[in-house]
Amino acid sequence: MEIVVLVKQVPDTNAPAEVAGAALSGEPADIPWTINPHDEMAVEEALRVKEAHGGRVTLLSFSRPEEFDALRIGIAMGADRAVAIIDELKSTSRYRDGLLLSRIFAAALKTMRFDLIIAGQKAVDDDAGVVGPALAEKLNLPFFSMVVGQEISGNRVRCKRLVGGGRMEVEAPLPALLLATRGLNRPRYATMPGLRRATRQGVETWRLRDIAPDAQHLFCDQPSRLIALEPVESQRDLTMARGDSPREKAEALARYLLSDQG
Amino acid sequence: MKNSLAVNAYVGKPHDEHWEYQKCRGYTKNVLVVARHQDGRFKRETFHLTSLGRTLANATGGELTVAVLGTTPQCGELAGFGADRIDLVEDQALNDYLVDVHDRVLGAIVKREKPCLVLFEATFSGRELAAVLGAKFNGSVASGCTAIQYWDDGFEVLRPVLGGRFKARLHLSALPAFVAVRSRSFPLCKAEGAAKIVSIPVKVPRTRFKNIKRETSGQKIALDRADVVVSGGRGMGGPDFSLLEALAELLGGAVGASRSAVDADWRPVSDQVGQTGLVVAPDLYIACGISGASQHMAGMSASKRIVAINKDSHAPIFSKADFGVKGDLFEILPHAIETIKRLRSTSNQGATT
Ligand SMILES: Cc1cc2nc3c(=O)[nH]c(=O)nc-3n(C[C@H](O)[C@H](O)[C@H](O)COP(=O)(O)OP(=O)(O)OC[C@H]3O[C@@H](n4cnc5c(N)ncnc54)[C@H](O)[C@@H]3O)c2cc1C
Repeated sequence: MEIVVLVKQVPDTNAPAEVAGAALSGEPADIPWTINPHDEMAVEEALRVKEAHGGRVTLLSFSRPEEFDALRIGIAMGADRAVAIIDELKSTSRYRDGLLLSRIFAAALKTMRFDLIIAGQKAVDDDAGVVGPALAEKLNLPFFSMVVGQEISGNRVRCKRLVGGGRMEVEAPLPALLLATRGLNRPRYATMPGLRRATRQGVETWRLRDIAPDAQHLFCDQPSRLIALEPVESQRDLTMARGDSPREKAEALARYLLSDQG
Repeated sequence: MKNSLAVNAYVGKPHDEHWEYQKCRGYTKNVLVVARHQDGRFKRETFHLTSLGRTLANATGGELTVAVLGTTPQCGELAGFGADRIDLVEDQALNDYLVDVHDRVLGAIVKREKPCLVLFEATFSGRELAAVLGAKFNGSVASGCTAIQYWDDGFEVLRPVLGGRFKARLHLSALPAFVAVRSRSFPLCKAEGAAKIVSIPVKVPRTRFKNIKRETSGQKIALDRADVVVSGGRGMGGPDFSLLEALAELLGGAVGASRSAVDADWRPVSDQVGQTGLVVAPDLYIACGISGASQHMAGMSASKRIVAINKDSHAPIFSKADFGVKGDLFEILPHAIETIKRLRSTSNQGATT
């Protein structure tokens, strides 16, 4: 079983707001980075598929060398190989259009062998969730979003998915694309020996022209561009429920809940 | 003023060069809205979306078409919000959502109508359909938008990023633009007129998926659609959420949870609100025994009103709430529930006398 996992590096969710904002707009900042939590679950699931059915787990990312830590974490968890398609696009911003990414990944995957692709449902920085579904469309693969369970038998995969208002179980033939979401698994930790192996092994790098001879033409147009990143001021004015006893406070709360405006 | 962009959606005259370029790809100035319905009724959000579509079609100078898939309700209702035309694909098989069936039927409609903009609601299905169709038509995609504006060279949208701490202002230059919006952030606009209903001759394809089993959750109101969300965290101390359920029932809402409560197996993962869970933006969010970690706030900070009940007056949630109660939720909630019932019954009596 050849399994490919898409991996993205994102600002650590605990990063202070201004710092995390700078990460997306591309201004230099000292940012604590991490692997996108949904991608971490994707790596974990790929390792479980490999443990059950044999095969190989390849991590694939579109990134700059300074964003390779996410790949290193994936290797330290147990992935066999990490490939980075180097971001040569002339944008200063770390914002990347999801459709453009899906074109790039589709071109790369056409040069690779795969039975299963697993990606995160969304990246927690841009919160777009475009790459997975768009890639499935480009490769004409069946895809399962919001996956919280999977079972492979023979050349078929059966998935449990969260859907609006409930759950759903469906089956499709491989190759297929799965989008991991919370509930799928609890990712294992990257171990020290794993991290050492990741440093030793390194990341394979590909250029756009390696995966598509007409790269310039394919990738020159960004369907969308980031114009500005605007901080959201949370203008909330806290009113505390008055009263000395829980009863009095509860009364104040009840009145507030029944009022129409705050 | 989160609606200001949509309200004054039209600025300047369409830029002819841009339209020339889009016209060579065959796109018109028309706007297409994708409707949703359940049990024979349109979702309220569909009316908001249609209203927004009308505003934007006025801006582009095109017509507004609403696509209705499945066996349906009174389509005429959509005219009341400004639809010029309704594209109807009436087939039982479309009542339940399956991405590969819906994307192909909508694809056929987009091919036929050549809209410059397709609007969805930012639900799971709306977001993924926008992405798939964006890839199919080499257009552009943006999801979870809270504002959209038409300019002479494409559309501009605002969408929350980085856990809602920032808004990204994006320019979508490739048309058609497939945009999933948080439709409730846009006002309803009543209109007069009759929409032309057109039955679209699309052969509904068969799905690639097999052995489909659906299970509905116990919740009467889906968490991501609820006007009121009552969430519990580690402060609940155990899986008994009956107090929150009672309060949610009383306020017509749904119950959510923090990751700690989900990790402890007190609630199903589908109830998790936050950066790695559901993003909700109800009118009222009540956080009970939740500390207010940034990852939790990322899932609910866009709520209109936030109420926090916590026994620790230093809990960060208080700095992001509109109304706070410092106290033990097990002492506060039962009495609050009783008081709500009492106040309601007295105000009802007041209304009848
Ligand atoms: C990558 C990543 C992703 C994450 N994603 C999410 C996410 O999507 N959603 C999410 O929620 N979290 C998420 N988290 C976890 C988050 O950081 C917090 O750990 C979590 O939100 C804390 O949950 P809590 O507030 O319920 O628990 P705690 O932080 O333990 O807070 C419990 C609160 O309850 C109060 N309390 C206790 N007893 C009572 C009582 N009887 N009455 C009133 N108050 C009481 C306490 O004072 C305390 O403030 C994520 C973390 C990481 C690292």
